[in-house]
Amino acid sequence: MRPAFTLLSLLLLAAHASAEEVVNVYSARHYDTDLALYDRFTEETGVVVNLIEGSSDGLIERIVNEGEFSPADMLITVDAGRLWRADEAGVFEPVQSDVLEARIPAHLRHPEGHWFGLSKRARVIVYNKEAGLPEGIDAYEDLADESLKGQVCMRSSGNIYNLSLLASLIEHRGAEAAESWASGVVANFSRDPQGNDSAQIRAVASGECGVSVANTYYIGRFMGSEDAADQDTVAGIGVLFPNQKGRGTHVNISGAGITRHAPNRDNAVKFLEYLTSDFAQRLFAEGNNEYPVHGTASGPIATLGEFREDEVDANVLGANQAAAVMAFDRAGWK
Amino acid sequence: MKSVASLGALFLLAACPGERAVLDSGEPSPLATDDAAYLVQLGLIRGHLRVGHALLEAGADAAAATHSKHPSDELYADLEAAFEARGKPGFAAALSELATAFEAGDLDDASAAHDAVREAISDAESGVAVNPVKAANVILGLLRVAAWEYGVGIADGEVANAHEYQDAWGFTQTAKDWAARLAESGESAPVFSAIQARLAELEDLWPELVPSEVTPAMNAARLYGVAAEVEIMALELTR
Repeated sequence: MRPAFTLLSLLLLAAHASAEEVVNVYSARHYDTDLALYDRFTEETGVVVNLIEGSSDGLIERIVNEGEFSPADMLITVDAGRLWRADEAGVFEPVQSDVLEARIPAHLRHPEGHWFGLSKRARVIVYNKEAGLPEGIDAYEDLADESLKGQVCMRSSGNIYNLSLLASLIEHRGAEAAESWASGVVANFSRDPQGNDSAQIRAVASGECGVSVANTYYIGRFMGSEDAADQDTVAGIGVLFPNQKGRGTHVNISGAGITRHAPNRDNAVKFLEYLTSDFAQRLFAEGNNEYPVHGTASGPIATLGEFREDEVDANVLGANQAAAVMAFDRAGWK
Repeated sequence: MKSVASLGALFLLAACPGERAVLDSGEPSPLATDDAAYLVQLGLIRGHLRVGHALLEAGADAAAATHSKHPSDELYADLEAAFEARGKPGFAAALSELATAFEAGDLDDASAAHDAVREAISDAESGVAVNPVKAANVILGLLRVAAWEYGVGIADGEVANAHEYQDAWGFTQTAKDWAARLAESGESAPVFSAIQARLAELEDLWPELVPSEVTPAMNAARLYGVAAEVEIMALELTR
């Protein structure tokens, strides 16, 4: 009986596989709006999206462990630093797509098509609104000014967003200046690094510290929250887009790449192109209060206004990561 | 039909730090409340004993004895609080008797002790309401641990650790048993039949229970890959 049943199951699987076009997506994003977006793709193309969710580093490790036997067609993750890590681990296979190249600015994608930015977040300075923006502060570099002694709170140096910010400073100012900046910021700490970006925002709003940095989507979450405490928090902070007189505000990305052993590569490319369509861009960005890589911002963060963004090649945020780790370490930024 | 699905309830053994179905986060063991984690932990014990018994049958008495001790050394302690919470008596004495029987190397006594522990495990499993998604999570949990162990056992084209290689076989056999049980009937039977068929293709990962050489087929990535495929197949259960 059993061999016959196994044969039957094989036939069922084969029939299932031939009847259904699929794309297997490993994603570190966990938003309901993404699901709606993927459903729409299926309606439009007939390609079913199989979604495997996990942490960025966990998914990268999985794809590496699965090797040539991985069913993954695409990895979606957040932060250019993580895309770079995945690429270094050999996860991605280059894609040449006129659609992607036309829709995604060159500085937000890998130069050889290993990965593509799909949405953006800006890392801004937040300050206590009641105390006001400290005088003379309009750039990241100013956070190291001794006038801010005892006023700066930050999350840990191991956090990928801080690593990418410092990586951008290394690119613009050189490693020595970036480390000097980190040392200056450490000297201004009001407390040891702790908590995530939300915790920094709350600390600034409550007056526990005067200034910090945070990704805009954290601010967007507070803005969109119906919780009274969250509304109080957002009312207690001011937001400054740094470096508007110079290179622009540091931005980072959510992005995706096609995996090296993708069994459904054509569908994956089709899906990636779909994610850059006008419709998808709005939902993909709004789902996490981010900015689209093309088109205009929508949702709560749109009220923060337009800003000049740093157009440094997102690839260097990963490439400079090791140098950033060492600089933070030498600066004593825990 | 919803086109996007995710096994949201899936407990993640992402890094598989050894064969513990308990996340090493310093939080209380989820075994008392997380049915899938509880069933995986029991499945790991089944896998250990199964490979121990197979080794004893093959005349590898010393290796068999080692495997027979591991459930009490590595897995049982984490279950005790879960047994208490779930109103189950546990089976410490039966495990101890099994280890003694395996140590003595008498196949008949060891088989009898093995049967007794398996019966006790079945009793511990009874009362857990198993639905298809939960069963898929158990299969997935066992396969992920198996893949991790296999990768420790066979590394860089060599047999690095025969014990872990054997553990991976035992855990995979237990995963197969789960798939076979769910493939017997019910609306989800076709999904589990497909999973069962996929798992059946893994036999050449273990050409011998006591490995003497490494063949090209002996690659942990295959087991990791099949675990991922099983997760994708199981998405069908949530659509």
